[in-house]
Amino acid sequence: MFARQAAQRLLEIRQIFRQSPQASRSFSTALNYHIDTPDNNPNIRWEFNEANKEKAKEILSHYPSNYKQSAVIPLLDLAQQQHGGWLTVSAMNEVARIIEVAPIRVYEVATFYSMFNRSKVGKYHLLVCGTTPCMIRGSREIEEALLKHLGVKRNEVTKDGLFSVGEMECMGCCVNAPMITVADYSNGSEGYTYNYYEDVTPKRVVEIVEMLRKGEKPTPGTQNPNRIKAGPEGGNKTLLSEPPAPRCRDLEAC
Amino acid sequence: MNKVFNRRTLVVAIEVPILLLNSDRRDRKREMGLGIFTSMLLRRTIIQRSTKLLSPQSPIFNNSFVRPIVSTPELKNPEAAQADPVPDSPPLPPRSPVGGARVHFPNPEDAIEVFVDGYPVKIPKGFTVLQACEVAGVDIPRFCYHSRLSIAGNCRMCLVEVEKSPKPVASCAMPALPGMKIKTDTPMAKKAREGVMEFLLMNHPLDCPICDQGGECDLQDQSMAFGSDRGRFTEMKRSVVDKNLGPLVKTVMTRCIQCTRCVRFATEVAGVQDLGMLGRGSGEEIGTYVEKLMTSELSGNVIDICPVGALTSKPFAFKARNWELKGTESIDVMDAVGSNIRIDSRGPEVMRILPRLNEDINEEWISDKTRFCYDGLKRQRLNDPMIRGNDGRFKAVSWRDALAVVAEVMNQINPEEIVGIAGQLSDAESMMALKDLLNRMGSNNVWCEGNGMQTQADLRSGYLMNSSISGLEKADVFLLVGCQPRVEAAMVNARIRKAVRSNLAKVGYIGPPTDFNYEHQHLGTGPQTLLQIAEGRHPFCSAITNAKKPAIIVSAGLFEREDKDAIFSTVEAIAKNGNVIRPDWNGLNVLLLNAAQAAALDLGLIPESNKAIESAKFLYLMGADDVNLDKLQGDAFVVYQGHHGDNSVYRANVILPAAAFSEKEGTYENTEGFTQQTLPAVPTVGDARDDWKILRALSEVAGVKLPYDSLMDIRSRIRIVAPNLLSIDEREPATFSALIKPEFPHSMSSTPFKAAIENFYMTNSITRASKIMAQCSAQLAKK
Amino acid sequence: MAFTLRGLKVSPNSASLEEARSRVFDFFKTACRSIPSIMEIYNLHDVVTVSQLRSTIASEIRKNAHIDNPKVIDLLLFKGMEELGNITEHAKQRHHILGQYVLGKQGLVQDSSTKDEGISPFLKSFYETNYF
Repeated sequence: MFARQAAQRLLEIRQIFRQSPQASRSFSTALNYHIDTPDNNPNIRWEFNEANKEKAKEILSHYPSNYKQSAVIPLLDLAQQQHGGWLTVSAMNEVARIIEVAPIRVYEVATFYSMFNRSKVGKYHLLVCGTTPCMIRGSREIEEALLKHLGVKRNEVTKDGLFSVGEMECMGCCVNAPMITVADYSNGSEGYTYNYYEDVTPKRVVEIVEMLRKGEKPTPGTQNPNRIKAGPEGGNKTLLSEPPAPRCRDLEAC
Repeated sequence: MNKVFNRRTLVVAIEVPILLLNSDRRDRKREMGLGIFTSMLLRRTIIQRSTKLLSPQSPIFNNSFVRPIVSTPELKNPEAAQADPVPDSPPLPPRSPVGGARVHFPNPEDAIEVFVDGYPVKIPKGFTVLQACEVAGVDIPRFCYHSRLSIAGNCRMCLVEVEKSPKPVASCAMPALPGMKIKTDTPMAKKAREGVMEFLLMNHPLDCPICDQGGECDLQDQSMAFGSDRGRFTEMKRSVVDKNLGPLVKTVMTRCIQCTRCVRFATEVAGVQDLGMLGRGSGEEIGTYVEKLMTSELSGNVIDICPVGALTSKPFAFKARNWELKGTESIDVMDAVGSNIRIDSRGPEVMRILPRLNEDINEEWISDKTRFCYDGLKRQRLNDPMIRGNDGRFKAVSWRDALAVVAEVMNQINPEEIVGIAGQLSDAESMMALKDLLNRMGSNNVWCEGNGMQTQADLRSGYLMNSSISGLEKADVFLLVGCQPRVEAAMVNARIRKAVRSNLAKVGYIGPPTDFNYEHQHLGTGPQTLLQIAEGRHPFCSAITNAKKPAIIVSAGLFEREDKDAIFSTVEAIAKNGNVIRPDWNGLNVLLLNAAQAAALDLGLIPESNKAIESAKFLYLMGADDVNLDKLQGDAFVVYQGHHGDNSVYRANVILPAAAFSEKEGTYENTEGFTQQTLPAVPTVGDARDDWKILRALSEVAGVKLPYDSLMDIRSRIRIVAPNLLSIDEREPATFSALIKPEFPHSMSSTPFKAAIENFYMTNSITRASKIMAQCSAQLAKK
Repeated sequence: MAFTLRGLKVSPNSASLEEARSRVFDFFKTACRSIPSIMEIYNLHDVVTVSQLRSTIASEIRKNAHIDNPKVIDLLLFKGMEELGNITEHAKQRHHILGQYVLGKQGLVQDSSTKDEGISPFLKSFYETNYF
């Protein structure tokens, strides 16, 4: 009897906590359907530039001619790099035209992958890892610091069009958690970089943002000066000596 | 005590097979839950009985209680359930396949044997586990699996246990292997289904009371049969924005369970790649991404295949519940295909039209025109006999007066100047009566609209689809002559598309530019191209000659052309050169446009002269609204007998109200020569009468009494003229004899072929009166 | 029933045929005066006119023109007043009025059977209904 009441109470408490403003987390930058806007509608002509046309041809050559649709992800990626980090409907239509499928098949892929942005992002798209290890190591604070510094909400672009902040899933840098990724779309697909900045602190991310704003290129990788890559802070503590040779069986015992 | 038990089992054992037999495949939607339930019941009872009879120590002999049939104790105690041995001795009665499923062995050596719940079943190689279970008479619950669509395997509802497999397997996607031991009724399978059902119901709204699918919902039925009685989900349910798919399909996307049947249907059968699965995970939704209406002539079928209430009929929304409706199995007359339909009516009102399964004609789809024309049956109807007064206005009169006026005029006019035209929706019986009446008056100028002048009606092969609609599936080359199957006969188009998908059939098309939903070559627009092919000068010739089963389809729209005889002989030349007609394959087809055409030609309704309308003084229109009356003389007396106030009513002097196809019993022959009957679903409106009855009554008033008083009598009259019209639900193939065909001296004109149908959604008086069809043609028809 | 009777005074018998006759005229006038309100109550404006109703009442009265017994006339008058009371008190429904006074006793079928001489049973039933 008491157990049931306690369980009931627990459930109520959980319900209260669940009512957080962030009811549903959205990783993608847009809705699952398209709404026409002046800068994103099917009537705008969009095509690959000359250099990227060559690249697209090169990508298509990786696949058999009757399986052109396999090139959908690389082509969408290329289109996204060219278009400043996001995909318009017309860009997706162009990809569909190139790989000879119905546009909806491309939309399906583009909506499936959260790394394809279907709404405008900044020239530097900052992605904060929100998966458990990074979260435990303070990714919430990092995101908060970024948003506060830039004065935007998540998935919102700053007024100067330089920055936007998003959340993403684990990028496998848990050993250097917390981390952020900077997708640099400022130089089109040629100068496109996608760099990880690891071991960041709320202070450090603001510095990184300011360096990017000035056009500098902060060094990617761990931002903790006491660490070398994924090594422990302050140099190695174990495995200091030369590793011993593989053990050989006792030959004399035979 | 033992007696009591035996009687009980006997009753169950007798009742259940009847239920199973009755449960039609197409009615599965409604009866699936029950069917599965009963089959489970039956099985368990029989097993129980047999085990108990085998072991005299069984508790049945010791206590007087029959063990209640419940699933929970077994679930909680799997050992006990497994300990219950399945006997392999004779007492197992043979079970009939679900819904009378036919098993076709393409190659007898490929048969393999599997065991479903211990029953050995022989199935062809390549069958899935689910199909094997169906053959064994076990109905597996499913959402995403549909026998006519590709396999997705994403709903996981069809999980079964397979011996030696560590996990339950999705039976719809698992090919059956020889000797496989499939178990559909084990605790593991039940638990798996229950779990899947709990997940499916997690995000499904609890709005069954306001859902139009309620009562015929797969999810509802299956959650009753296989679901748990409680869920553990306490979070918020997700919600999804509704999509606008046009005036026919209503979407409530929150109810969607992501089975992707609609996506696969649109892509594979309808051939419009509009729908897709957008997003991922819990954000997944069906949609078109960009705002786009579903511009397919088969879009209504997604309503039927949707297992939940996500896609429902927009015109039918909130109109009725399925259990209030009376279903009448009837035939569609919107085109010459003769799709099998079920007319659902409530009282005097047709509420909706659904397809019936007929593998030979429409499979289980129908076109949007067929499905949504029904609201035209409620508008613009003619209620009373009417006579046009001197002021040009119609005045309602009694039948007695109306018939007296018509008979009087008819008797005053020269027999040669009497002309009768049957409409495109006429049934064979009334056309017979019309012809007989006019013949008795001394005239033989009677024909059916759409059949044109001087159409040869001597050889049935000359106006029928000789390779049959289902036969088109086997063809590998199509030559469409002036024929746009997508608008002329959407179900035939679906077959051609099926052939294009499965046999990679080539399609060549001669005619005005038009829409196709499959790969095709546009060879030309007029008879010249036809001539080139006949003379072997066209690259497409080799495709025809090299084909295993070439099919030529000529549109009946060409009947209206002056040079049709020349065109038909050219087509025959092509057929001869390409060896299209062989003992085992007749690929020379005519695709008719109207429901009445084939029967009219069978009955010999052809005009005597080309100038019949110009010289007519008395014109009897039996529902004919698409004849050109411009050349009619001003003083001609026009009688319009029909059910809708449509084109011809403007010129009519007397109106005789008749019954529409949903209100009468009538025989129709479809384009392949398949004879079927409509049945009255609703009563006639106002003071209307059946067509043949009006003609019969008129004949008596006019003094030339027709010798039949009932449909039976007319049918025995038809037996003399066209006996094939009496073999209902049978296809009477034409015996082809190209040799005795007379040669025609005409040469072809160079006028390009015209489109036979301007607007798919408005082709006859019913569809022209329909509001839904008007919306469709405004929004969907491509300009 | 009681409330309809309450409004009805049973007048003493007519002494002579003359008195009965004048009572009939009085009744006719009363009935005619109530026609507008009857039309209002039963919403008859679109099916019948005042004069049609008036002539219906007159013909109903004339049906009994041959009666010369004052007692019988008094009885018929009583029945008529009762009917009128029922109608004005909305004790009837619209279809009663339509059936009895607008369409007449014979209903929709106005044809007399004399014309049907010599026609077949088929035609006879055809004129009546589609279902036979």
